Amino acid sequence: MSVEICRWKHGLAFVYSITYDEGFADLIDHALPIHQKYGVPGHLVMVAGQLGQLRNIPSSTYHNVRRHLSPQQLRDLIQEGWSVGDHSMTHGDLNVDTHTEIVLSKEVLEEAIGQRVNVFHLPGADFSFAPAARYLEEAGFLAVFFADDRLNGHDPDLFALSRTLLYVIEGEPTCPLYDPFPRVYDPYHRLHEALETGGWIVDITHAVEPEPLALWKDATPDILDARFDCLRRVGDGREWAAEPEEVVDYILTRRAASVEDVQAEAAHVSFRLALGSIPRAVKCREISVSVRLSTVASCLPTVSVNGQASAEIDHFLGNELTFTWQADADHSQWIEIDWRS
Amino acid sequence: MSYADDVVRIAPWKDDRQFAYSITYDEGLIETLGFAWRIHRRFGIPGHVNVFPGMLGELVGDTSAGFLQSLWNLQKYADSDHLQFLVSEGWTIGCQFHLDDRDRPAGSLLQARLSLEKAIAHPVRTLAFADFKSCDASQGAARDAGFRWLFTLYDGLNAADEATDVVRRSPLFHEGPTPIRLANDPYRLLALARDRRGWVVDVVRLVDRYPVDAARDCTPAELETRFRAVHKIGEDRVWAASPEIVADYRYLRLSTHIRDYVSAPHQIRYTLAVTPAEDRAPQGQLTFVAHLDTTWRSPQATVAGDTVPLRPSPEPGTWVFAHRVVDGLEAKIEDGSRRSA
Repeated sequence: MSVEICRWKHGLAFVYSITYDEGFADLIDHALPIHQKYGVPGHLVMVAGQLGQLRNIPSSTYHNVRRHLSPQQLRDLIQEGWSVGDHSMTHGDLNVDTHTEIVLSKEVLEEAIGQRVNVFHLPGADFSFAPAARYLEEAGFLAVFFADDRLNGHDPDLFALSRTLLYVIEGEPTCPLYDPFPRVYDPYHRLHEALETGGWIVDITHAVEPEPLALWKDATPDILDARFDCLRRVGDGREWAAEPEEVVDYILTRRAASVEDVQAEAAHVSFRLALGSIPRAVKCREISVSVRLSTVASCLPTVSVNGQASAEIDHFLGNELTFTWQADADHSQWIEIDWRS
Repeated sequence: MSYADDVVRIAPWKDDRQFAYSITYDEGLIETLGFAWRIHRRFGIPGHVNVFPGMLGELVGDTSAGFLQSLWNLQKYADSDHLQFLVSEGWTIGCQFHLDDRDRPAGSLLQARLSLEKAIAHPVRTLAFADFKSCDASQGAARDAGFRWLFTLYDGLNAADEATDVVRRSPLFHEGPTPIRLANDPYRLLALARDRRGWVVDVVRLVDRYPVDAARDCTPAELETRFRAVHKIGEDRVWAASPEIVADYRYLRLSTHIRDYVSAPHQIRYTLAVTPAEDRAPQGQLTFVAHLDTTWRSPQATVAGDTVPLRPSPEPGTWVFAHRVVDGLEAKIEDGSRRSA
């Protein structure tokens, strides 16, 4: 008999998230329907100083041609299960006016969407990170994302998370700075690696439209559809498609949790879930636990938390049971599992 | 597709494998081959190495090219003995296009090819370009110099039905060029090749524990991981072979057609037409796939009077067989059990 806190929520094998830098309004027409089709939530990475405005960054590919999502559109997408991350106030160098880019941008975004913003995505190239790094944690962010094409492990440094590019490029380079050689997008990118190692893929793209402006960093609806199709086929039910804030919350909750006082009798298991310190900014404190029973249960076990049936059974097969519930950070919780053998 | 194509078809790849995989090494640095060939032998994947014919056995001696080049100066080029050893291991050898050759006439490339053939006592049929622009610019001269296959740098799949002598190669690297810093992806393009019945050709330069140029080199561990991924995605459906062999097969297949198809009860006859797209008569063996009535208990193939063994495919009623291909060759498949009765 064993009781283990699951690496990922619902006992799933790996995690997939997708982030949209700049959060252009066209996503509602071209990306949202594909997200709904595959049941994958998205994450919008917003320049706080330009919500609802036509992009006004002269050095940007999208200057004066793409409009950012408005606060109301962001709230509508949050209702769809999406989340919002901070991409600074002006998309500038964080080290020039750090307070505005990091602290004020967070406040502006939180005001706009009516809830906390917990993750930060470095604007431009990652070189603007180092000197400003110490302020990100002080400002209350729980995680920081780079864009260096790597798979995140199951216990990553939350202030050095990686994202992998989802792009269009097909054929000769259109931007020599970013395309050293002709290449094509592989819609399976890192999926097998994530499945094999139990990792967390975070895609990054920008606009999604039939004829993208920037082939090296935008996607088409077809490419997005192919990506999600590959995710579902490789995952085959073992993938947790989640927006990144929820994943960060799970990691922090899982790190604070421990299983203690396990007691097993015939057709009954109980244990105590102890929770250490969890940052106050964590919104979702769900935790998943997997229990291998000593005997095969002939019916679905019942799980109670502090005497109440508040856990969601994720999987049950023979003598293996996985369940998820909302953990309480202030108290230990007694979990009891009963079944007839 | 004709009825004949439905019943007998030529397999896209040898043994009707789902996709093909090859790997090439540019420049023929001896350290690369020292680490790589054992890994190749262990995984049963023959390689292909491209060398500068005028530099066999020499130290990398360009001291005028700055710090990075001076690191390469610790390396040495393979000599003819090393290359002949690799040929004995099933590898193939080609010429490496030198940037100094950009403005040279085809005669210079011809001289390079003949010089290498003399050194390794083996025909040399391929010319490899380290970048796609050189390949685009010098294709004509390379063909005039008698090179049969031209390897470019293009990170995408080769298609089974692509009638071209230019082979795309995907860089296998430790870490891609800045600023986007693509990271090593052991599964790059493999599942896509499986889905599309394509052909992946990797290119790497130095295989060493400490890559000199992260964007062109990889470690032995990364090479091993790549080969493991090839086998994991491919299982027994991947054809891992030298790119020359795969390109020869593809050319022969695209030049060969089934004509004069005749179907009678318990017997099928056809004739092959070999019509090369270019003025180069292809020769060799192709794999054929026959979809026969499942009541056929003992199918037998006879090609130009010789019996050819058929092996059953996992798909019911499907049989695979291989034979040499010559224009006008007559083949017959019949149900042996009926014939003997």
